[in-house]
Amino acid sequence: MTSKSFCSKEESRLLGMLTKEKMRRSLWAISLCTLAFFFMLTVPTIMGVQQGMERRQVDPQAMESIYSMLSTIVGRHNVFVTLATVAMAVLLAAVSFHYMHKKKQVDFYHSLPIRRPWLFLTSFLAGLFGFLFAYLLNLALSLGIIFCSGFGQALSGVQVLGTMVLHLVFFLAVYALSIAAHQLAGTTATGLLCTGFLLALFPAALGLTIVYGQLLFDHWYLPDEIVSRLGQWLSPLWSYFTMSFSYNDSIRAGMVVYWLVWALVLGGVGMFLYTRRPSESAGKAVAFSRPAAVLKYMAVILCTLAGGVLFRVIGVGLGWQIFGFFCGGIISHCVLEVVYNLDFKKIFCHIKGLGICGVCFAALYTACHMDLFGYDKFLPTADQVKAVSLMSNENEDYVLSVDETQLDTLYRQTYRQPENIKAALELCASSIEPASEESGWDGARIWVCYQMNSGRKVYRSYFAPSREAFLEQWAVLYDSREYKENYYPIFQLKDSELQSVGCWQGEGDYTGFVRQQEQAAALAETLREETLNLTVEQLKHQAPVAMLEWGNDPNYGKEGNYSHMVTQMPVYPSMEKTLALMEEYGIYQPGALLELDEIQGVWLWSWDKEGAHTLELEEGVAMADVQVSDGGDIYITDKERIARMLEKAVLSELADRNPYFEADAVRARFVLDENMGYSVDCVFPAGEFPLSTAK
Amino acid sequence: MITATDVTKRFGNILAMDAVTAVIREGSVFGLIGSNGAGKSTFLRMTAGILRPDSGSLMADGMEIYENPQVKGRIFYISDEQYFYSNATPRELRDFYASIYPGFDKGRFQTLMKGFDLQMERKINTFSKGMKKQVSVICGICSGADYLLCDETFDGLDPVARQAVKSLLAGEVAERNMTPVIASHNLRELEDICDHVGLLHRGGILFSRDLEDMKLGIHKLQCVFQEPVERGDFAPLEVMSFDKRGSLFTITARSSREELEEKVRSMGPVFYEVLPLSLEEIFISETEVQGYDIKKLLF
Repeated sequence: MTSKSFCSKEESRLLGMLTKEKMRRSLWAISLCTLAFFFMLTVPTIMGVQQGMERRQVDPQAMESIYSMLSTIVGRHNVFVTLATVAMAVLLAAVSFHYMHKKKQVDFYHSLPIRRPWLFLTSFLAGLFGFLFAYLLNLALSLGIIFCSGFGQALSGVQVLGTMVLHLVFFLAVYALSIAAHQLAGTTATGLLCTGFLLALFPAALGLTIVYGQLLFDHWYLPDEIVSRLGQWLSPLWSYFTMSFSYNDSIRAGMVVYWLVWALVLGGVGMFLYTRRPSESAGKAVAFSRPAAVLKYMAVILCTLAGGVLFRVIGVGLGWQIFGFFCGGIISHCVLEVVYNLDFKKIFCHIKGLGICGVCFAALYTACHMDLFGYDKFLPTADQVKAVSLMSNENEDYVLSVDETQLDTLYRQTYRQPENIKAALELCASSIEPASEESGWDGARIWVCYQMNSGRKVYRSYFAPSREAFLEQWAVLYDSREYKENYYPIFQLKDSELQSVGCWQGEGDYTGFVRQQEQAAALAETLREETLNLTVEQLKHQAPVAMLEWGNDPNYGKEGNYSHMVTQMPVYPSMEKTLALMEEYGIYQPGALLELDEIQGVWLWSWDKEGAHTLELEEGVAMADVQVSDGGDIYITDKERIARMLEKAVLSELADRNPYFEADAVRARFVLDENMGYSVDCVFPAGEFPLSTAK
Repeated sequence: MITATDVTKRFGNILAMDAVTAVIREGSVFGLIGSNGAGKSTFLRMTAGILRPDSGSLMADGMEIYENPQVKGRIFYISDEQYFYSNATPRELRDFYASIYPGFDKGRFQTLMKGFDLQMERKINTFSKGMKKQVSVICGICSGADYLLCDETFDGLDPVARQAVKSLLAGEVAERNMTPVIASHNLRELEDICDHVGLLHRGGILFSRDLEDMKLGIHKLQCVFQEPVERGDFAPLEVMSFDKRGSLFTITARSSREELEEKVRSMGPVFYEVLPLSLEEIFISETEVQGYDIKKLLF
């Protein structure tokens, strides 16, 4: 195509003229758009500024929160602007290309001396300019109001530009998709239906994949982050809403560029479909019969699956699920045939096609149900994998950052050493048979990622039915250097990031802070050394006596400043060097966790799995020192017995930090002030509760 | 010149045009006749570049029409149900077409609107069907297009307006060699304006002839004989129709006027007179020869 034939001067002139004309004809839609953004953007800005001015007079210190509020209104976190953008994209696409579905208008436009790609562009640009006018006008108004009222510091140029680009790109993405949908359809109504279907397609397919993965496979696992990532790459709405609603992530430029390219490509597809679209399809339900058939069967399959889920949940059981398949499949097929033909009498058209689709679906479903593809049976050998990432629910995730995702935690526990790979695979192999119902909740949950030699990653989850067996195998991994150096952040942090450390021994305030970087680093070094020597066997019998929290700011912990914590670690009684150093720095107070004198009494309880009490007191306990509640719990006030319990008791708060700690069945609540309800919960190491002989 | 060569068009299972071949010469008024569903509108829509032929070629002055703005700029299409922008006035319509067709004559538009007694500022959607057609024709004529495609345009026009439009079209043909193509199912409507006529039937062209040639080649004569005569007595002339009512005979024959008169004179009539043939009668004769009943074709 030569530059001469691509666009003549005359066509360019006509392009501009027709675009203006189209915008004039869509004035009502552009006005609606403007009004929508006025109420979603400008009016909230005015309200925010008014509130800000009132608060500023009363509390001059509140400026930060006022700025934050105004920044939210004009920024990407304004949910209403996001929703309005999506709605307007769909509306403007329908309005701009509405004429394609009317024979009179098709004859009018297609008889004009302008090529179809340019006709397409006039409609495309009319909708785009309409949106730009509506949004930018209101944005300018809002920014003007903010600056004129003295709150200009609330905004930065980068933030405003980023927000504009975000809304524009996702408008384009949804707009282009909706236009492509209208090309496939022959009426505005079917165009809107097609738009809705295409927007919901990937999220629905992803959601149903997850549901059926869990239904069909015992070892199904797809990390949430991968689902989220897939959703963000496949669905413009998912990506847009994530970027708008998430306060943690900044706008990802790469994702925005991706969706811009996607929008341009889809715009190109729309233009191609427009040029190929037969003019005589105006008024029919569908313009292209083959793509329509493909879309129809995709919709039928999704509805079949959705029907299955619905009846499985309501009716419970495979029988109802199959009933749901039939309902979802047949009804959706019939409805679509009526829509495609605009004739109710065609409701049972193409029944043969439905039958074939149904047979294929049944075959595929049965194959998955019987695990003919080997999903559940999959277990690689050691020479097939280059690494195995494995995590369990028996973990110390409190040492990790709150921003860390489940996938990050999984990859943090990646084993490359051959002996660890072997141990991980053995652990998976022992869990590959599904747990029987009798095993109860004693087991442990495992999530695995096999990193194959080919680069492929395979995810599975298992349930180890016996906790004891699980721990025996898990201990090989935990006790390894590789696990600790990868898992605990303290091993990855540089000394420069460890500026201060606080010590907390449970119940109440910190017992002390170290604010010299050298001391903080020294503590970290000692703790690392002693952590490397820690084994699961040791951890079964001891609970932490303190927690150390490192901050990357020397003022960490001062005046309520806890935002600079980088990690925290438990300190066990066996970590003698660390405890000695902590005592030397004056941040650790050894000794009894509570004063005997401040304890009014102790509540004790112990239940078995069936809920029956198993607590028996030692012989010779005076009844005067004992109360028994209606629920069977025992309250002791005898100081001597309380003292004996204090010697062995461990704070529940600290014991919970050790997932391997084996606690006694007896639980204790030390009451310090019955009137105020102030008490401290404790546990005891297994077999070390001093007062009872359990049945 | 517009040439259609083996043009075929399907709408699903319906064959709307079946290998149609036709030539529309410039500077002549081409009448496209056919019953409902014959394919007239389809042919015009393809000629206007709205529909793409499934096969064959449709060209104007040697260039493909479809997706060719250069050619389409010389064609103006008046649909049987013309679309107007909602709330548009004739003035806005004039301005719109003036920007599309560089040769649009705004002054002439104004004059013609006055001539037809149509108001420039009144909204077109308040016009009657006939008035809307008048506006469309005026737009078409003032556009300066070389080809004016009219689909059932005379339908809905009152007799006065119809005559006015016919005069206008004739004037355009004479002045600047415009080529109107008029589709209709009403033969009488086209009789006094068309130079060339094509008959469409079920998507195919039955015939396409110059009207004058048709008229020259066929003549109708009424005569009275004292002695009865038979159809065969007129041999070797090709008698297309032979009607006897008492002693009055009406003969339509494919021959020159002179040949027919000479033959009749040789048979010694009491009286004879050559009668004018209507387009309808010519058609009846032509189609009967081909084995069709004209009434089934057109009514």
